[in-house]
Amino acid sequence: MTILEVQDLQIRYGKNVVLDNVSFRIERPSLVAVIGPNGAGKTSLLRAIIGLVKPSKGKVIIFGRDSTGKVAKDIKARIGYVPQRDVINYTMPITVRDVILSGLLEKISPPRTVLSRTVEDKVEAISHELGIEDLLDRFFSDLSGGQQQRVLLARALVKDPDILLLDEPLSNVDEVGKYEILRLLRNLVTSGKTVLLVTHDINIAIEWADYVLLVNKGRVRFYSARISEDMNKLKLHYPEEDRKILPGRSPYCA
Amino acid sequence: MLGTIVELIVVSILLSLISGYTSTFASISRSEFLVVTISHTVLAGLAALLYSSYVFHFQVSELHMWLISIVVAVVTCAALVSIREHGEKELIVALVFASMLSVAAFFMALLPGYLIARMWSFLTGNILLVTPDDVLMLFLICLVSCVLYTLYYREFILVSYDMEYALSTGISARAMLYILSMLISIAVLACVYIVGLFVTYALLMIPGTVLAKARFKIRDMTIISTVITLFSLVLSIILALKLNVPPSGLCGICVCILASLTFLARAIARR
Repeated sequence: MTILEVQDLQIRYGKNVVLDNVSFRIERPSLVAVIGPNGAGKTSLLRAIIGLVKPSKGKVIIFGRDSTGKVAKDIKARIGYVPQRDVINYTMPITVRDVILSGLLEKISPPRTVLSRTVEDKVEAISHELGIEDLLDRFFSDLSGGQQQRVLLARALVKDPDILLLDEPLSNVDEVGKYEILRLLRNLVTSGKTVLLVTHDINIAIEWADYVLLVNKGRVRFYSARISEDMNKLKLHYPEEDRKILPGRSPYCA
Repeated sequence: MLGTIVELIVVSILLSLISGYTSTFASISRSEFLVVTISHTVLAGLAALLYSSYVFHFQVSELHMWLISIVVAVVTCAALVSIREHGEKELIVALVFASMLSVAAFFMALLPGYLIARMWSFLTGNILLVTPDDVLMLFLICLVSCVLYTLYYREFILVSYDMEYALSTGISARAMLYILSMLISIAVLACVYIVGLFVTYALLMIPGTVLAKARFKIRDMTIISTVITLFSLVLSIILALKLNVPPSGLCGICVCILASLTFLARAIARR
């Protein structure tokens, strides 16, 4: 079943075309890795899907509905989004519980000063599932990179979305942390969810994803299933200067 | 005398509530730029208004001044937030700050003596001289602030913490950011009228910034900021009456001392 379809997408920032002629389709459930070097247009693609950027051309169809430039509330409720961590205000003394709770805001009507037991239960259940229940009353900024990433994942997952859009969730995370997050993502796919994972680590894409989508210089250069023989061609499409980061299978491979 | 004391207590409570919320949210949403620019824009607007009243021979009541100031603050705030979203925040803040201060200086220099005194009251403020119009406006601002902060407490936290994520959810993130910024701007206005521009920054930025650094939870920050401001206002009023000096400067000093002591106490307690 097609969960997301992008047709002939073009994104411009002023005169600068960051994405052009991008088309692909994602079936559910699957883990799709969007890879490419820095500045390739990966984040812009994700932002266009979630409706944060209005495309100058093309279409984004989510759950069979045209969501180009503006995603309807009921569709947003079915999407979990984890933005890059550098957009977060780290000076703010916010607790992990409050961060996770913010994932449920659209589902609770104001005022939310006193929260129902159901809401609290959901927060505790998801934190238990991700192994962060001991961190609930700690400040987010006091956590390690891997813990912070799991908290942001919990915030995206607490509303039980059908599709997860993750922007560089493995950056600044140690190897053990990466393994835990990737295993969690695989489990989510097994349970029927679709994950769109933006990463610049080609090894992770090859080893963990069902499909690999390579974006470079604003265009899709490669899109194929991991098990297909085409994967060998991926290296050819990857920019020459970044091929050296292809040392073979890493110790934490699937 | 009793009526005046009751009025001063009411004003102190109202201003403390406004300041408690605003100080917390201005610091966590990194809106220092709003406090600085709005206060100076309002000052320039008031100077221009008083000069116009002198040149064109019309009377400006307190209520009119409040209403015009609110309009100036809201319009400036909307423009600033919109510009902030498109970057270049520092440049715009510097430009607005410098140009508005210059405009204020220009009109103040042209004012006749009797209006200079009135203009000066917006710089140094004097809580002992509040008018019934001031109390009414303060009450309305406090009411609106308390209702909106209570209703949208979590939205305000989210847009301050992670705007990118907020925009991806079903909540009206951009509207929330505007409402929060408007509340901060109107609180700036209230402070300029009651304690004066010189002390506005101390009241609206110091408690929140210091308490955030001291790692208090957001709800606790609001409560402690309110208590610090209330205590400072009451203490400065008592000292002003006893020593026959203006209270605003004393209030600013009290806020800074109390916030610092709270920070120290927290640091010691966390060891």
